[in-house]
Amino acid sequence: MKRMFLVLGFVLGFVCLCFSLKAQTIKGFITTSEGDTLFTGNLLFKEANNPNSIREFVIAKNGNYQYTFKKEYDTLLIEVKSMGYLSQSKVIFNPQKDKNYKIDFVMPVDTVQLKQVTIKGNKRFEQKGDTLIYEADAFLNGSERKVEDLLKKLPGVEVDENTGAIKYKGKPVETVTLEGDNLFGQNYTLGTRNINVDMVEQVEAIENYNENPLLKDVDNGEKVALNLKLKKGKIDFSGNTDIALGSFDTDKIAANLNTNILSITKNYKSFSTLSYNNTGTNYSPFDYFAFSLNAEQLNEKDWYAQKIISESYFNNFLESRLINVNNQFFGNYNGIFRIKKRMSIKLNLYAISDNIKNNQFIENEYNLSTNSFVTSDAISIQKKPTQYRADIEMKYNTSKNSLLEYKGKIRQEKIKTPTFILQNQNTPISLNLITKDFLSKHELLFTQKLKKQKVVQFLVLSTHNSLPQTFTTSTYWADQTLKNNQESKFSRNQTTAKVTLLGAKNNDRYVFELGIKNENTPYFSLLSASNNQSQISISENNLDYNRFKIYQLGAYHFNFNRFKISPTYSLSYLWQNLEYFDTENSNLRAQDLIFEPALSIKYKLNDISSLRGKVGYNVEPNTENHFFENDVLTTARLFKSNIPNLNLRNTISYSLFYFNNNLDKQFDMQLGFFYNRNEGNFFNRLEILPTSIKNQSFFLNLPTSSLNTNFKIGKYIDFIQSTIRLDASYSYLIYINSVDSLELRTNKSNNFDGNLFLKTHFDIAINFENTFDFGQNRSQNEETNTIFINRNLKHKFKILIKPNQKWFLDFTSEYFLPNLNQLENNYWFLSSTIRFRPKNKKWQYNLTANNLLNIQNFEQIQINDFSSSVYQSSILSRHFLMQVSYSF
Amino acid sequence: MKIKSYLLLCIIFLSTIFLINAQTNKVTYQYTSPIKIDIAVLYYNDTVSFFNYGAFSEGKDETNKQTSTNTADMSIVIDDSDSIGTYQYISNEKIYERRNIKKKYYTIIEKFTPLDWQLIDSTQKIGNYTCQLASTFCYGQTFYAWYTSEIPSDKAPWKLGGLPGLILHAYDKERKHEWKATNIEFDVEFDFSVYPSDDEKITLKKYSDLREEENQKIMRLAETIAAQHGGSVSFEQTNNYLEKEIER
Repeated sequence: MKRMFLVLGFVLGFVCLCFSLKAQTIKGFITTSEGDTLFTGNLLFKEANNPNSIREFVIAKNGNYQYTFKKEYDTLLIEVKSMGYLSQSKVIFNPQKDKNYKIDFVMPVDTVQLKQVTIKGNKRFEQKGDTLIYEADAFLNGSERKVEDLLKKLPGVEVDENTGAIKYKGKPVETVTLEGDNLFGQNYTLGTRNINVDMVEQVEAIENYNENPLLKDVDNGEKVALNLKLKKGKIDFSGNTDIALGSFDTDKIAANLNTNILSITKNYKSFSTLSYNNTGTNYSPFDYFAFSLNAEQLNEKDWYAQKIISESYFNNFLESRLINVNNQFFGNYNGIFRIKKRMSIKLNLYAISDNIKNNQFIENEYNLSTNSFVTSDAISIQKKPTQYRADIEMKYNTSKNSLLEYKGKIRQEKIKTPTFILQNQNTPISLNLITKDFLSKHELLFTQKLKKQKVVQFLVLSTHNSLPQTFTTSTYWADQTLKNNQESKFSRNQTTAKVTLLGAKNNDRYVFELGIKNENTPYFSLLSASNNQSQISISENNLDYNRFKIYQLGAYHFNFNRFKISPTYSLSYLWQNLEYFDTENSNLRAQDLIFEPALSIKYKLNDISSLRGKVGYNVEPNTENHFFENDVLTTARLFKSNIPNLNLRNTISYSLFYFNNNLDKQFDMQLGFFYNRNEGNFFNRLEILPTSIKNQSFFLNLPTSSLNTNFKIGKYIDFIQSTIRLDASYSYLIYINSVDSLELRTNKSNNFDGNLFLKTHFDIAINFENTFDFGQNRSQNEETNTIFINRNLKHKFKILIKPNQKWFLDFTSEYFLPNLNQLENNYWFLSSTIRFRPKNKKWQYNLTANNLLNIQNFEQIQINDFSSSVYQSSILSRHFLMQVSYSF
Repeated sequence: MKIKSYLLLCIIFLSTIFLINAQTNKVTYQYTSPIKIDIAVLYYNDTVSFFNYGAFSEGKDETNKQTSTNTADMSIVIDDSDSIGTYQYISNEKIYERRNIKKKYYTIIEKFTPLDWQLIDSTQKIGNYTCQLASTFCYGQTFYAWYTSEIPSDKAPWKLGGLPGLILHAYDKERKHEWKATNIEFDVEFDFSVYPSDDEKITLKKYSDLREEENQKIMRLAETIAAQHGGSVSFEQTNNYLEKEIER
């Protein structure tokens, strides 16, 4: 027995010895350079050719360490680190497996004393469920002033430069809320263009957004919104005042004054702004310069009466801030009051007044089959809009599962556009257009939650819009004043009532709706001419158009695995009645049964990318501006008329869209294809004379088609510490026109726009931004086989200098080449800003200089299949501004 | 014998001096859990760490304090009402943690066992620090930690620790609980020498049992009230506790 134990012990000991021989160990002693034992230190074991990755470690206590390696190394790098001491390292080449190493270290004292390190804000974003949270500070470089400047820098978020419209992951946002409250509705640019960026701590991008909490479980989940979270201390009462004064090159005073006040308490939230400027800034959500529609106007387009006579819209090849010679007063108040736990009232008030001036020179050369001639107009335009508007929204939870909402709006707008033209260099013409626009809206919506996943809604909506216009032209000819006076008045009255059932079954969602819609659009116009002696009527229209529709629509959204399949349909019966009060024109009636199916498929490839495809068939009646038969004078030269038709327009559309947004790798990409084919449309027949143009629209069941593609890609590249973005869009359009009594001509037009953007993120005081824009328009007429090409180029280069927390400087160079075939016709704008913010962050001082080279005019040449045009416009002249800002 | 005693005394004295003179650093974390977002503060030196949730202010005294005679290798937390407090022993003997059920506070004593960290070959920058990823399985779930060897301290938020660098970012696998460092201050003043000693001392198992007992009481009360009104009530167990199991 004894012998057996002895043998067993020997065998065990031998085995242990073998293992210990095979195991590689290291041990040693660590002291300080002062001769003391190091109390605690970390020994890090790395592969020498990968020094950033720690493979194993041991913590030394009281100077001693011992460790048995679990991994193998080609060249072992040992690093010793301890607080207050300089780190030491040693290398062992080809460490042998059966060898025990004894290595001592001596740690020199580190004399550098760190005091404080702030590492907050490094995390740029974080995903929490449906919400992506962006840390505002991580995206700012000091050049930003308003929230919109920050939003432009957030990956996945796009902001339209002109309208301020925001998209998130390719979808338009419903609104931008403030601390969870929808203060601005669809006019969110009031917040994004006026709230200072340093008030914001985080921006939340919310998917599956719905303002109505009762719809949370039944909503389709396609809506997105942004929410601004404010910094602590900015809540309760805060705001800022900016006062900027300077002068233009013409010695006229330049001024830009703006005050914003934000107030947040438990039961009250408000944001108000008051501003005045004549330096080209538009603080309001309304674009009176180029008349681009904002998100709210696009959504409400259906309520608006048609504007037959358009105010001048200014060419915006250059950005409007460079040529918008304005004089704008703007005031806005937005407030939410919580009356009781169940009731809230929201009030939005607007007041705006502006005076926009522009001088233009337009020369057209027409090459027609019968003759050719040149026209020229030197034009001086003023646009004077005023608008007063009040919106009220009341919400009352009649019970825990029901909500009653009333939304009312009343708006009065007046735009005066006095214009002076020197026609063909010898005929002075004075124009005056006055447009009055009155809109009222009443909407009552009741939501009742029947079960957890079934909700019914009842809606009654009534809108009224009247749009009377008076357009006067006065021509001075041979001691006589010849006047044309055009009255044009469209009204639109609409009433809608509908009941909607929304429900969910597991992950699927469905919607069924039954409704009626009645629209009444009367129109009256009268063109009369007068001279010193007499007045005659030239042309009159008096009609009433009525449209009544009863419809039923349904949609079912199947969600399984990564797919979302959504078939939808709409079945409606449409009555149209067009009555002319002038008995020469016969009345028109039509009745149509309309079926519009559509199918949408979305496939989620992974957490960061998705593919969406849609095919749809859509039928629309024609718009009322095609129903008047007799001439209406719409500009000094242009007469419009129509051959009315109540036929319907059919459109079949296909789209395919790929989206990828990898926030961790700072990469995003979008690729979209959109194809539309329309059958039945109004085409234009143009009759061109030296002093006038007649445009008659007529309906044909001929197809037009368009193909649009867009491609966007952006990536942060670490080794050059820069972000690169490429946007490219291409569209191909086939359209028909008829010029100078000729047969119909088929034209093809393709447009390409490319934008390359580069921005550096160096850790030094200086950074750069660089943007190239290239555009090409190519038109081709099939009959004559003539091709016309217009190419243009824009280049913007920005230097950003931030030597410390207090100072910031930027220099911007913008180069415009409107026509690449005319290199001598180029424009170069320089501007600069110097900003100083003392330690007390409440104050800030800016010095701004714009259009330093004092460019006076801008010229652009456009060519099409029957004419070439030279367009010249005045520009906002050189000006300097000294600004003082105070935040409270 | 006399020499040995003098030697021992000198060693204790020197250790104490070293303890007193060791640089103390402060790390502020943002702590996120399913029910709240909070600030957490870690004070540490070579031998001691102190971790606390809520807006801790030095000098706040909510409980009776007593100078400990066993001052070597000890960390203390004093917490306010509903926050979790953590004690940590660096001497590899015990972890002390102060927690409450309703208004009653307990000091939970656990045996300290070193965590088995797996170093992962993945790095990222947090602030100006290069951090490496590591993971460990403790208390019934996996935790991940980004630590920086540029600050060679094995201290960490909560009861994580033992890596060759200060942990700047840690989270559980489901990211229900997350600690993110936002600020580091070097060479600060802090007094480690006090701790609350009048709380009842229990084990982590006992604390878990007491907590479950309290949850059952609340559920039974809710059922009774619902029944009195002719209704019923259902409960959803979310299990958002940091410790899913007792074992470290």
